[in-house]
Amino acid sequence: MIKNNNINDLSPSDLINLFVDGEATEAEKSVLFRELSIDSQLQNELQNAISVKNTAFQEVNNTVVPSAVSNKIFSAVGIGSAAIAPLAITGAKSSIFKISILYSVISALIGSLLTYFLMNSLFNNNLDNNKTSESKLYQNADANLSMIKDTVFLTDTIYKDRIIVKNVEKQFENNIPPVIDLTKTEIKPETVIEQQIVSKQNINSESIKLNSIITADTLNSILNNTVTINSIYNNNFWSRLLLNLNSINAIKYLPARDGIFAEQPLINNFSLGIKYQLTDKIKTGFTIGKESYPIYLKESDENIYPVSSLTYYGVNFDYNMLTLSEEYDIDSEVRLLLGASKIGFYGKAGLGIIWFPYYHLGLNFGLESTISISSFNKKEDLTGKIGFYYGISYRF
Amino acid sequence: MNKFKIIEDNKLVEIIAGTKPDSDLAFIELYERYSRKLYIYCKKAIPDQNFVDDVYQDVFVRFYNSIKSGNQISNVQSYLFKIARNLCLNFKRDNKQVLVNIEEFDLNDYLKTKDDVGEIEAINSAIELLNDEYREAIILQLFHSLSYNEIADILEVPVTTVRNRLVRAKRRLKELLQPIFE
Repeated sequence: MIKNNNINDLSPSDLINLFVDGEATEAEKSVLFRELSIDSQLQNELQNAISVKNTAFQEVNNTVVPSAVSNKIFSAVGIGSAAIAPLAITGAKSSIFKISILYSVISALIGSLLTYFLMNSLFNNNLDNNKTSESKLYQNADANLSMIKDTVFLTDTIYKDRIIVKNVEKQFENNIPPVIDLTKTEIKPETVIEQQIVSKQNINSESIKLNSIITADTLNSILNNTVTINSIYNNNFWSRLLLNLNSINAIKYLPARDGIFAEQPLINNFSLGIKYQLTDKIKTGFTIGKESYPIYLKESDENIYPVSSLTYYGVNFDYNMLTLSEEYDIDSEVRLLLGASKIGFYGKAGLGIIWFPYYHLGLNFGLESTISISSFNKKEDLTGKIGFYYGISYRF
Repeated sequence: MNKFKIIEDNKLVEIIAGTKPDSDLAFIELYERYSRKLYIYCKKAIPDQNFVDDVYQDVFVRFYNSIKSGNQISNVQSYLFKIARNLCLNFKRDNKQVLVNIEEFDLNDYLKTKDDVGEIEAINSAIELLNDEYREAIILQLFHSLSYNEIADILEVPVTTVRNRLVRAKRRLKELLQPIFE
């Protein structure tokens, strides 16, 4: 019988248990280690004791308190479910699926309307009509062309002998069609413009890119064979496509009301977008991504589960606000995404920089904010997230 | 990250005693820290799952009400286990008719080797065959890794008593598990 801590009352097996419990004294450890060194049976006992300890530990780790039980406790002490699940949505998974489809359709409709509006408001309809037949436009170029001072062209297509002008900030005299035949057009020295955007030196070493801004001075240089165009990018569908792979880092989550967030996952933030260059300023496309969004979600069994991340998709609108460096092809851009995730509406707005050190390959980074709207107990919750994005772009 | 995750137990208790919404969030944080431990404790103490949930819920409700009543709590973990223990003992006292005297069972009657059943099932079954004093000590020590001092505080007995109970409990456990681990 054990009546006190006297180690003489304890067998080596007892000492093993005390040792595994972390309660053996130095004297007890000393006795135990001596016995262990000579007794293989005791060594097996030690292994078994450790095994039992580990097994018990695993059981604790694998134990999950049912959500319904936890919710009853919170309810009993007056904590509303909104506090533990600020973003939970009600309804079964099937309804979540329907919501997802609904938001996709709405996003697509909004995207189409916006695209239509932008195309009509930002383009000169006459010029668009003229672009319907390039051969016709080229014939029209026989007209005696002259340019007014301060003219800046936005080029649509550059060929070796002509440029099809997509837009001009100031109209040509006499309603000149938007084609300039470089072999015939006389660009006088006095047409040097105030805004020098592309230098001659730059044109010598770099290609003139599609949708770049080309000045009257540059045209003059080309006409006089003072520069060499190394490559020409044709204006076809593929040349206007751009792939964008981004990583997203969260800086701060802004929960709805006084709610809390679930644990954040470390890595699962990325998005892939395919965009089409509508104009030199505007891109539109489709983006799909998965990013950490640690919320709670009420499933069809009425239990609330933590959700670590959300997959979202939506329509993109990117607007190049300001060209920071024409020489190095750096633009600032505003990004807008209208889309959906399984919890409901998902929108993003970003402000950043896109830099193409090579024609095809570019880098981009910036700040973005994300907003999601979900419903909980028939009320809309708006939750935000601020972060930054960075990634690479490839244009064809 | 939830700001309450880095706050110590005692500070969270102070926040719970305060006003919403912080008091709610602080309680949820403490709940997340100890819910698993308390749940498994109740499961071990009361084998019938239906009753476990009721007793377990009562533990946290009483804990919350105690804080709101202004009771001073120096050791949250110990306080929670004391509530759980008292509730489990009360339940057993009041519901003797629904509990089987498991000490009359022979483990070998329904456990053959640890390959036939999971190792954890074998250990749990063996623990169920211990008497109450040994069982509650070994549950606190084995599953919750509490020190002998912490267990003594919860059981309100001297540390030497805890030590003696655990030594005897493990001797009995070893005997019961002998055929399982052979």
